[in-house]
Amino acid sequence: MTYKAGGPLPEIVKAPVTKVQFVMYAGASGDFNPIHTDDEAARERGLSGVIAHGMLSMAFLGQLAESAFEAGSVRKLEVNFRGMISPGDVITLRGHVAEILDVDGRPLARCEIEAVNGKGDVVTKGTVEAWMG
Amino acid sequence: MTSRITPEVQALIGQTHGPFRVIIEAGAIRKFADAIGDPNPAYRGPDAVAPPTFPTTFRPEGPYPDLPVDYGDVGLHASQTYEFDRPLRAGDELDVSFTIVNIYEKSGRSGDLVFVEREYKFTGAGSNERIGGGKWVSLRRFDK
Repeated sequence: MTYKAGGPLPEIVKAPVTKVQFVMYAGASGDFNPIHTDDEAARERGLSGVIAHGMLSMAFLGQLAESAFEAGSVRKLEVNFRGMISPGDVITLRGHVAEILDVDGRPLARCEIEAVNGKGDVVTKGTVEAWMG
Repeated sequence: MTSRITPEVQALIGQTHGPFRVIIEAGAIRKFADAIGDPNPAYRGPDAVAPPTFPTTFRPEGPYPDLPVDYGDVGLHASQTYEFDRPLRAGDELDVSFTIVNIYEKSGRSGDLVFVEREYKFTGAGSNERIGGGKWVSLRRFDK
């Protein structure tokens, strides 16, 4: 697929996130903060229950980029965490090419990207730079 | 306002941890891809490429410089950056280190916020040549 400045990246709608996924992500990432896996611990910290690791939403945005371009194409991925994700939330990943840069003759796409929950709130937002070839 | 940044906290700025050795295993990449629900075949098999947030798995063993555990009421992840000079792959052996580059405070609606910025560097094992790096900004909130 070819991309032009201003053009969209193919949108991805993730399967609803689940508590089991948070446990899998805790194990795979090594982040065992109990607010992601233990409802009781999450409630003790003022939450209504477990929430996703922020890094899970960043991983989703990595998927957006490396599906649009190719695996190993990301040069830089930068995000801000703005909101929390709860079990059952459906996260949509979307973005567009902001500009295409020439780095020593190699095209690099700089894209603005975001992860949005079912209510339309942006939970994680950032930019990615990916090699186009 | 009294600063939340005590001399003890201020003294964390400039502290470095590592390098510690990381060996990237194909099975760990596959488990990571499964956990994030990414079916990309490039993340599977003996020559797997690592997804761009895989470096979150590079965790130090043992103590490392950080704010005291009971500092603030809530700990949150503010922002994260990863950069790669080349893709990471199964079989790569890296040396990973990080430095606390800044600690600063802001006053928010819900309370005082203290931010900690850490810069990561990944090099080949035993080499000074950078392969990638990142920035991890966390925050602690002091509820009003």
